[in-house]
Amino acid sequence: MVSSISPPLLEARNLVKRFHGITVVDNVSFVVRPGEVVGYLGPNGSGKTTTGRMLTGLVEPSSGSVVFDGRNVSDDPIAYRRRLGYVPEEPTLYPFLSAREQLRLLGRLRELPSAAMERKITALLELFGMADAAEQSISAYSKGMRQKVLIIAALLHDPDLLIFDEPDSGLDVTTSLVLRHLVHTLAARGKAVLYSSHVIEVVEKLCTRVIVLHRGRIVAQDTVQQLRFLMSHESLEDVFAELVLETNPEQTARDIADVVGGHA
Amino acid sequence: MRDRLLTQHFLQRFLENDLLSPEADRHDAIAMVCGGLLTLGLFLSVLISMKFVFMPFQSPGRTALLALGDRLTFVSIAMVVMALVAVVAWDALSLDPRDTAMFGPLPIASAVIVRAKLRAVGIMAGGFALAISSLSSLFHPLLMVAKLPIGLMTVLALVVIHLTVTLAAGLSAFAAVVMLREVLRALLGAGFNRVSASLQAVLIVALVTSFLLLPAMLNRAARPESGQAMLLPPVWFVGLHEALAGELVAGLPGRALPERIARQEDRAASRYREISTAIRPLKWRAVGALTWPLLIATGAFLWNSRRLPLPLVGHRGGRYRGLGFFPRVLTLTVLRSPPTQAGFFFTLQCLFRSGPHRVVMAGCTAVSIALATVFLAAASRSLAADLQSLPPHALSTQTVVLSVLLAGFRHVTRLPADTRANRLFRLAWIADSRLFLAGVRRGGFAGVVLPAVLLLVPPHLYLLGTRLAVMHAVSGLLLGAALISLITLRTSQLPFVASYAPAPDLNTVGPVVLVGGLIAVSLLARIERFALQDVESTAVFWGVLAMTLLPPAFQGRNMALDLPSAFDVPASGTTRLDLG
Repeated sequence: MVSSISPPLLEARNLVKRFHGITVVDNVSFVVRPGEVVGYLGPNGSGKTTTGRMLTGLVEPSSGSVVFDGRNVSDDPIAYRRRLGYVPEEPTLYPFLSAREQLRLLGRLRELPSAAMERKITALLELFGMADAAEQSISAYSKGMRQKVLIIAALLHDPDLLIFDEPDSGLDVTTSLVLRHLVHTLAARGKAVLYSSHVIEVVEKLCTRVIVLHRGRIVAQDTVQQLRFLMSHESLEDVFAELVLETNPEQTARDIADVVGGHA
Repeated sequence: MRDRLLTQHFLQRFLENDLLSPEADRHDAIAMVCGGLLTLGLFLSVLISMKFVFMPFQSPGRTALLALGDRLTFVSIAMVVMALVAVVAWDALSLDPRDTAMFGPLPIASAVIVRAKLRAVGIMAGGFALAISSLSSLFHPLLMVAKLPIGLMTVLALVVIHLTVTLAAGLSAFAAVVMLREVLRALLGAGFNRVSASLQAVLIVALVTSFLLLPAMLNRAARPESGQAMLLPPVWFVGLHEALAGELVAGLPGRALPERIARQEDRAASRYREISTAIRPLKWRAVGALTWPLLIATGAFLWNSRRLPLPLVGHRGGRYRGLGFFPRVLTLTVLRSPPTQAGFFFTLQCLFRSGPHRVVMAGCTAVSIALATVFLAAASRSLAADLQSLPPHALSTQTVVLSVLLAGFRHVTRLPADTRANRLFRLAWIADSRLFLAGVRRGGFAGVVLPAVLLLVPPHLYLLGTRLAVMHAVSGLLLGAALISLITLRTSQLPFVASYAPAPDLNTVGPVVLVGGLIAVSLLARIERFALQDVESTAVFWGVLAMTLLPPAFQGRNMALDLPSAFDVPASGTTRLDLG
């Protein structure tokens, strides 16, 4: 369950990332505690994915540090990886493997015991509705099917920390609902979850706390209720619009329709 | 216009997605494949044709007789290589669900898409056939008649006929594979997907084996006019060549020769005419071998393409019945730790299923086939009754083949399986590098060394006899394991998952490696010939080879593979691929 007094499992401390002199993530700090689902919101190019990659160790921060369970993750990256599950934004899987082979490869690399791993893979593939396609080459999968494989891969070793980067991208309605309930259930069982998404409604329903990122900087960080209260808005969507949006979406939509219809 | 664009797209995608990695430099890879084929053609043409240049008393009859065997070699190579091209490109030979996903929603008639795909396959086959045949068509006729009194038009006719026949032979083999595939697709329907990969593997093994056995068969057992030889498709195409070129060389005016040479010339001319007369009627079989597969393959392709293939979303795969028998046995015996299992199975999956890895290994296989052909042909001509009088090159084939294939294996272990997917691998990496590398070594042994040695056993049984062939095979297995152990000993990157591909540095290193390799192969053959004389020497020889397997066992847990260097820090002379 959510606990603001339990010590943080994951801490981002003043994370900065620059690519060729351009600051993509600027002094980002936050914590994620066990049992908490933290939403990570921001428009395209705001630095969500780069933050996720720094948190997982895939990208080295230009400055700042990531602390897991009180220890800097660079001190013992392997111990960190044992307890980390990550669903990346891009469905990056080996196209020449089947779902089962991909999961088996990752399970073996994580040194999971064979029998338990096989049982878990079979059960998870079944539960995610992938049993029929499990032996097919991933190159023939739809985006949603690949996404399911990535979610299973992130859960296979029962991690304590889960970082989801747009996990419902491409998923059908049923699986999206299952995923939301799953995130709730995992948090209730003490897992710490960082949930990055574009879909404000999902974040509003799912997350206990929200971090809003804009141009690489955190512009708001609080509970959904507190943000609504502080900014005097009915919904998180309105809060987000005020914090982040620089154009009028309705006007932009009309302009696009005009261009499409040849009126512009 | 749309036809042309679609054809270009299919050709481009054929190269980008089915043969070459989308992450790799396409120009580099295309240059490598074309360079390999042209080099193969040039190497074989010059090697085979040089004997004519060095003949002290070249005469038309002997030249025509020798050229018959050469043509059989060229035709056989064209057929086997083209059949292998078709087998390697197996999955790309017809439209797939990705094409439906891409073009299905567009206002383009299915017939246009099907026609474009068929044309792309045809252009690809024609291009490969031309690359294989062109150099031999140019060099062999020119070098063959360089010292004979012959007119320019006759030389041109020889070049054109050689090119026509080798092209026809290569295309016939390609069409035969496509025919087999498309007919089975038509007969089995969705069931074809279940047998497709196995059939592909069986075809590769069958093609390579028949190719390796061909020189020995032709030299020892099957006389060209015998019933056995008449059944071999390459002989049909040599028959076609004879029907077209006829007496162009044998009918040239002779010159004054020493009496002994003149007698040889008479015998050779008579033998040539005997064979030529016997095989000329086979021209109709050659014509049939080209036209029937072409017609049936095209017909079956069009039949199978009546509807564009459906996307595989929700498609039912094979039923999962747990780990197969052999994987289960392996995981209980030699692959007990999970990282070793990961290394072993991932190595085999990359070698046989990943596009860029398959291309490199196919290129090395083609080179090793060519070299094996030359070595086995030489060995079959100089058979000896006892081990000591056996020429060293009789024992060199296996070492040459293993060296070429393991050079390819060394290269593919440095190629990333998929730069983006490697991120997940990296996140899951908590394993002991030593255990993973042990799996990679065993994967290389099972996927490269074992098949190569086993495929060479039949010709070696024929050439060396049972006892020596078995001992030679054991030496080959030990040598292969030793070479894998050595090439992976000082690696600083994890095989298949580092983000860097080695930059080709063949100009500086290539010649040194080639010369050094040839000397080493020759030395090893002599040592092996000496060692296989008696049990004690054999035991010492095998023991020395086995000792080279020990160093990896003494390596530390993570050796030089400190994270993240094993994934990211570029080694000297490497090129970064993943900039993301």
